[in-house]
Amino acid sequence: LFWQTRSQDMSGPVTEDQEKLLDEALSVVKLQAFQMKRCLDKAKLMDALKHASNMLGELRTSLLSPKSYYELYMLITDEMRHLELYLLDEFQKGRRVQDLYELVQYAGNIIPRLYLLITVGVVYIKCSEISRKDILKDLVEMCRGVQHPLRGLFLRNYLLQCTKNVLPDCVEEEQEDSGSVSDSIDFVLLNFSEMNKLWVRMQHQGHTRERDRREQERRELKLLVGTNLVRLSQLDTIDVQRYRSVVLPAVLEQVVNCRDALSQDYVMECIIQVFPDEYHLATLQDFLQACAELNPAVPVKNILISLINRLSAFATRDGSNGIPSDIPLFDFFSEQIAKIIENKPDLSPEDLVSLQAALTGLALGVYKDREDYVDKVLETTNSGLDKLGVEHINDHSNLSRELMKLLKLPIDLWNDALVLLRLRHYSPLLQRLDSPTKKSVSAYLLQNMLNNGTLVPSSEQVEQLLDLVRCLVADPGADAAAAAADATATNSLGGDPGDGSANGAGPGSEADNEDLAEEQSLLGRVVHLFSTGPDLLDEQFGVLKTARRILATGGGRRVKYTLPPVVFHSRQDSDDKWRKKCRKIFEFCHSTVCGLAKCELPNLALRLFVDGALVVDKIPFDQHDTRMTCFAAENHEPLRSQTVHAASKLLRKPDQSRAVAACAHLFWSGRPRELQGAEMRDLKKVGECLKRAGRLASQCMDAGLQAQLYTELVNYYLYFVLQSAGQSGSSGAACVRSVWSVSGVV
Amino acid sequence: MSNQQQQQQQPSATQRLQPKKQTMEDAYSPPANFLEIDVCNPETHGLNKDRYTDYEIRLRTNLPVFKLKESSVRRRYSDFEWLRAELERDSKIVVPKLPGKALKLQLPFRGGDGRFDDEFIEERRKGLEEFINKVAGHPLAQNEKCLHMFLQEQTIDKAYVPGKVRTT
Repeated sequence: LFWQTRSQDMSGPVTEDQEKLLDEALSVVKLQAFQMKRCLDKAKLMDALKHASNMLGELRTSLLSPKSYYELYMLITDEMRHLELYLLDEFQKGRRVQDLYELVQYAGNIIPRLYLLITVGVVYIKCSEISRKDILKDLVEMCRGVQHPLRGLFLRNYLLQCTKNVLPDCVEEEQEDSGSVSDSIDFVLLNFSEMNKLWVRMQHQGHTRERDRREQERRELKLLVGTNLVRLSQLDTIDVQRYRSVVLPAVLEQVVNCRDALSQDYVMECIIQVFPDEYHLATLQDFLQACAELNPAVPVKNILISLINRLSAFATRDGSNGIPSDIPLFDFFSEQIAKIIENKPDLSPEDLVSLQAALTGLALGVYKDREDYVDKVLETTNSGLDKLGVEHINDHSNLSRELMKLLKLPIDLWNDALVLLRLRHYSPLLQRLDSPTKKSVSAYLLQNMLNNGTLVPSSEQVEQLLDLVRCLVADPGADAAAAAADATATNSLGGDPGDGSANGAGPGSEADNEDLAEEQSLLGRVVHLFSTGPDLLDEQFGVLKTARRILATGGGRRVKYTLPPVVFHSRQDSDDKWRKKCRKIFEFCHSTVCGLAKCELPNLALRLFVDGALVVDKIPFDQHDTRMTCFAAENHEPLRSQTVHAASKLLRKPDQSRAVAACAHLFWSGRPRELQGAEMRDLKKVGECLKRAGRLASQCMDAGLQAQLYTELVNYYLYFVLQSAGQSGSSGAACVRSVWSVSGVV
Repeated sequence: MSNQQQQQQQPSATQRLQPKKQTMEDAYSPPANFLEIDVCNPETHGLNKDRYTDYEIRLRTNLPVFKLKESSVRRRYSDFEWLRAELERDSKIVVPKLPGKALKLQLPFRGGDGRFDDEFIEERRKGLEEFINKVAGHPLAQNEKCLHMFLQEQTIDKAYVPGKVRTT
């Protein structure tokens, strides 16, 4: 006889062998079960027990993997139900078998012996034979006889399943020795400790090289251990008091002392999931204390996050009373997390961030109006990242993802960007991200503002907001100071001449340009939210000036999206009573549009100029002469010539031609103040325009189009000739001549 | 009366015994019977007629009787034969058999590498591993100096003084 050392005890099961072994075992079981049932039908109990014993003998094997063993176990225990039902039936009919409990203990091998004992014991309990308390104690103690981890775990699981409905669940014993809930608690806790012990021991069985396989097998069996906790949660008589004083301390004692990472991780999670949230609130400190004592290999952060999320959900659920005010939940978790971070120097940055994110979720969920809580968490995150020496956050890293999640939480849960602006530590954290992610979060914020119609009512806040999303506003390094220097100058849209983006013809790829367009149009739409309210025109103007100043730093590519909204928005606010203000506004628009023109966006500029003209036209002033005269001559003239200039710069010749021709009207019906309300009727200028238009038309390649243009020109000429009927002068004659020459061409 | 009292105080034969509660230490410590010996990394040394193969004997244990909890030595087949002979003489155990000698393979006209053939070496390795694990696991063998020298000393001193290991 040789001493059995562990490495010889259990050789690794090979898969093909497993199938064969399992099949063989299953066929034996089926055969013996059949025989057992036949004997029961004939009321031959002793023979039936013999077959049952044979069947149970298959569970003595050392050769099956846990998965295969489980399958075998399920089939056998199914069959054992028949035996149990038969016995129950016999007992209830008064045909008690004498000393059955003692009888089954004569089975030769311990596995069949104990399975039979459990089955008979439960029958005795259900039929009130002997003391329930004694039987339960006997069974849970007897199971100690099987110390083999796999077999022991399944045996104790059988015990747990069979006794499911017979555990006493009352505070006081109902009859003598029928047991109370204390006995049930003792029963389950003992079963739990023994099972945990066996489960932990499994890792030491077999050769070192099989360690990973064994760990996987342990994971497959975790539910067997967890069922004990479930059973405890099903005992209704256990209240918060008993949970706190008896149940939890015993469970935590096992968890902490087993020092096994797998067990600790699972059991702690199990506790959180299985017991009600009120219990967790009442035992928070004990639980968190245990967390601090766990094996370093346990991912404590997951456990904490689980708990925090559960309690957040509990507090914010409909109909819940929330967190009792005497429990400073935020402080508890804040401290606990700080402790963990301190004790784990190897905590990765993304784990740090995900912990803080959970805490943020708690703050936002449970303490919605405590902005300071959120700010504090952000501050801790920032300094934590500093301590870990995190400088550059790679765009596709886990850290980036976690940080993004964290930053989106306040956006989603407050739905009020203005609050974000008040948090001192939000922007520093956002700026840590890499450009694409940063832009993504910024865009998310802007979209949130649009969805919620969040207005930005002050210049200061506009500045703060645009600073927050500065990655969208301008390329890094764009000199905001230079742009700010000429805040009211007309040509302040310098952009960044160095990178060619000011030309609007930068070499970006198709996708880049699309992305940029999307970003900027988002930004542009947000400009419309910069609104102080209907009566505060002064402030409103200030707000828009600030916006323009900052947005200007974005450079040509961006400006074409962001400045037009500024222009439109400012126009909407023109209050006809405030003539001077109005003028300022139009000057502002004008300079903006000039800037745009400078950036070679003539189309846009032209549109805006014409638009501007229309708006001015539409404003119902009290005095007619102020129409179009809010521009003093010195302003109107540049407007006119700029328009013409812009018109001639349009892309296509036909467009140019038409546009210049349209400009003729400016020189005709424009009413500068000097003329006191009379139309300008500058025939000379009109003629010039039309001639120019004619020249442009002649440059058109397409004969048909040319013809069309000329025809239109003839119309213009005729109109003006008719209008100018009565005006003498060479200009008039020149006009008429031109008409004939043009029609000649046609 | 005193008899009655005595009877009442005397425990009945079938009374439940209260087991002493197991300490956490006992419950959760790794079991103290860990002994793992691998016979691996066969290497053939030397040239032509003087060639021989030896194997790495790698041991890991937590048994108190072994001085080193981890050890690695190289041994050849003849060393195993020596160990077997020593144990048979001095210890009371029935020593298991070694895997076969390669006599048949060493005949001159036989093809292949003979006793340096890979397949043969692998078979022999398995046999030696089985042998040494069985032997080293036996408490009576664990008492013998020769076993410890075989497993944990770099060289075997065949001129040693045989004897029992003193338990500390």
